[in-house]
Amino acid sequence: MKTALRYLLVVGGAVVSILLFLLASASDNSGFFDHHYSWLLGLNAAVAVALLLLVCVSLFRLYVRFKSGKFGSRLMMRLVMLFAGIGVLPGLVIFIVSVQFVSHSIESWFNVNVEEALESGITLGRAGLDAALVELTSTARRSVQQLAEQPFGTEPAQLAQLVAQHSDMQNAMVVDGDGGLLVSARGKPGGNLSIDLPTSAMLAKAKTEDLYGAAEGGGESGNDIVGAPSVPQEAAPLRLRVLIAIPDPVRPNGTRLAPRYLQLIQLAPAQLASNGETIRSAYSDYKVRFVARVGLRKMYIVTLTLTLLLAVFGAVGAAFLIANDLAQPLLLLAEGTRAVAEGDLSPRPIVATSDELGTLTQSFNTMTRQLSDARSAVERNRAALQNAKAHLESVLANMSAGVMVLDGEFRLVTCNDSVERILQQAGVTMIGLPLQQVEGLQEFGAAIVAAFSAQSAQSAAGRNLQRLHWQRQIEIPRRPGSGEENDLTLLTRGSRLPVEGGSGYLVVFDDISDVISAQRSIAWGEVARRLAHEIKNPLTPIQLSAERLQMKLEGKLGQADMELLNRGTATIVNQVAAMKRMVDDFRDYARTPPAQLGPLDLNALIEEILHLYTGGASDGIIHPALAPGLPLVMGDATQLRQVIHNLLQNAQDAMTEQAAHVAAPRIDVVTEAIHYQSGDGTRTAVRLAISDNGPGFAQKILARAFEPYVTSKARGTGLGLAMVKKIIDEHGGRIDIQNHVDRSGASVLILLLKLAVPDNINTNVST
Amino acid sequence: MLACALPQTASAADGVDIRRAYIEAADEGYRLAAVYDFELNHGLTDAVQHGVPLYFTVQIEFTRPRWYWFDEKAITAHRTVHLSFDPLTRKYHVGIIGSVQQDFDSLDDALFLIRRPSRWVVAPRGALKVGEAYNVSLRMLLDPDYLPKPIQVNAFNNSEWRLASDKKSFTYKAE
Repeated sequence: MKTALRYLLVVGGAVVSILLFLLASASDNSGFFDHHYSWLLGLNAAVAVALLLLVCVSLFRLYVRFKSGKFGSRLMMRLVMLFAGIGVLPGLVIFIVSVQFVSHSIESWFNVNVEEALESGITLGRAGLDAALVELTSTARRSVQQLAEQPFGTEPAQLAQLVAQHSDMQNAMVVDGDGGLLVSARGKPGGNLSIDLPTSAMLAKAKTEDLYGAAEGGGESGNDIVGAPSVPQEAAPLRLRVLIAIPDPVRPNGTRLAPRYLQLIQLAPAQLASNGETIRSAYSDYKVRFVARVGLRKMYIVTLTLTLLLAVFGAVGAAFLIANDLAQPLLLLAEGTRAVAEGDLSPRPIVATSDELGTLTQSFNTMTRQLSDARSAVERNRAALQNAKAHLESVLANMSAGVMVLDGEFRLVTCNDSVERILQQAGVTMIGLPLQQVEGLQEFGAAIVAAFSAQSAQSAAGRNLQRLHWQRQIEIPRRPGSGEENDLTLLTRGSRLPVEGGSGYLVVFDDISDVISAQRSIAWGEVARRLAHEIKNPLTPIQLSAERLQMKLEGKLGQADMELLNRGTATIVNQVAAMKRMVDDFRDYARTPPAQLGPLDLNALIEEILHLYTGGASDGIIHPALAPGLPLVMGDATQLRQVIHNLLQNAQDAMTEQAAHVAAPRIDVVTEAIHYQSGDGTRTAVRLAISDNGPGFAQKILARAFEPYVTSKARGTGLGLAMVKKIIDEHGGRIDIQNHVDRSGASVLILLLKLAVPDNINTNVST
Repeated sequence: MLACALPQTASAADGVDIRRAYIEAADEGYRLAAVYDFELNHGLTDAVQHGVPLYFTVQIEFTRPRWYWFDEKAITAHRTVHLSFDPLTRKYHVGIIGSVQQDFDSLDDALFLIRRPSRWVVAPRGALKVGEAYNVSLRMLLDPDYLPKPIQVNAFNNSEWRLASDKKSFTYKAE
């Protein structure tokens, strides 16, 4: 429930308590609220009705929730019933007992005995008064007799004597027939005699019956109603009045006096007066109470009923509050459990109490937090594992060596990108297949299987137990159509891979065709050097012998023979010279002197070389495009000159091969500075590109263009590009040849990575 | 002298009938002359004879209608008469509160004084504007304020202790 409602209930409860207290205290017969009793009653009733409405609304809401099966309403219902029962039942019992008590006890206050006693008391008082009155009457009769006998004029003295004799006598007076005062005597001085004059009714009675005697006064003193307008009248003392006619004997002179009356007023005996007053007020009080008893009972019952209603409604209202208070943490927990079951581990709002319920919610939150922590830890670990796996995979994928994982039956499980690159097979097509059944890999697979079985045989024989892997060089034929004729040479290593549920194999292989090729060039160089040495030695004697023959036989032979001789000799000399040159070439290739590196302006070198080509047949064919401000490179001018000569010559040869070329022959010589990223920042390299628009390289040449004795030309040793490659390698550069994509010629790209250190620039300028 | 007198229609049987009521303009002020007709039922008579005092109150109100505001209350006055019986002296006392009381031997004599009270000066001259018409409403009842509280409560639902006239209204043109 809302906080505001809670405060409202607290304040309302306080107000109700005050109202009830006032109502209860107003039930006794005093106090300010006496006057506003009906208001108080109405207010209490209104509060009761308001509470009834509140309770009804609450009950209805609860019922609706219960009907709709809202979560927690069942618990609320039980708690409310419990608390309401606890509150209502004792109240009901007390109410019933009280009502019984009130009804019977009030009735029991009034009984016939008391009433009779009071009646008797009143009668007794009346009898006392009557006795006193009789006494006073006899006194009056005696006085009247005396007054009648005594001569006229002695009345004041007689009255005074009479008053003096009776101490209680207030006054004695003689009045005429109209009530006019004739003579009077007073017991105490002061007082207004005129108010004590007899009324006409008294006189009439005295006239007709000779005597009027009655008790009077003692009236209004018994108004005990608080809050009623006060009655300012002084209570008149209880007194006795006797009015008696004075007998009127005939006067000696024959005249009759006008009728005269003696009035005596005497205070009732003090004891009698006070007792009478007491009994009188008790008598009327008893009557009032007797009449009021029904009202009183009603009052009590109404008060009790209101109290009960307020208590009941208060109990039910409080039951709602308490039940809500108790149920709230439980509902919170239940909701929390449900949320946890659904996977929501966010913290629940905590019930801020120090009791067990508060502790419970706190521990619940601790539990969910720990769960959440554990879950996030698992998540983290998983992510870390995934990262590690991804890292491993990327390492594998970017490895130049091919890695394959095979299962126990040599089926391919996984392989990395390099496998596809080296074997020229899409990995997807191979996965799950035994290697021997993959198209084009039968030999490779057979070799691997053989190697593994050999290793396991060795292991079984007990030898080389410590060697867990084998290494073998396997050659497999290129896939048809790949354009390369050499076999693919793979250096393959295999090892057993203990995997779950059986054994597996790990195969790592590397394409070492290039290495083989390099070894081949070295071997060729050695062979060439020896051959050149062996061949060159006999060449000079051959040439000298031929020239000597010509010289000796000149003039000894006829014209015809002479011509034959000359022709033969010339042929020998020419062929020997050609052979010599070829041998020199071999020697040069094999024995290239080490490059003498120094700062060199590449552009200047190229211009110098191109100068030689201008004016010849190739004038207008070569188009240099030299980048200005090219950094100096470290290079051997002689060797680089040879490189450029070779390349230009190759290009020119390519042009001439293609006589019927559609386009005009053209050779581009381009230099430029290249910036590239390296381990220690951006570095600069110089690139020299020589392109032609000739026919380009044949595919089978292209792969092995830098190997010696590979040539497309009819004449030529096939050493040109091999030389170039060798020189560039010594300069620490890279050389690359490529055909243009549109088959319009080829380019040779040379990248010189070693640049002159700026310090050296001024000291050595290129030749 | 007679300003206004209205014929009285019959009212509730156990209530108070206002038989006659009119306002006189005299030298000392405006006086109310009225005759009330009622009987004490058995319960009340019994209570009186047991010495329980009864108080009768006459309430009178002069209002002048005003079109622009609430009606003007020119005079509001009430007079309470008490009736009591002394069981010792067996005398009935009737008195206007604040004035002398009279003794009677019989209840009827005592009630006669209450039914036909002396003229009551309601307000001095000058309390009303001469020539203006006033609505006079008059009511006479057994005053419950003077009753003991339990009897008040009882009177809520017990007609024996309820004695009141309807509100009698008439117009008086001030002189």
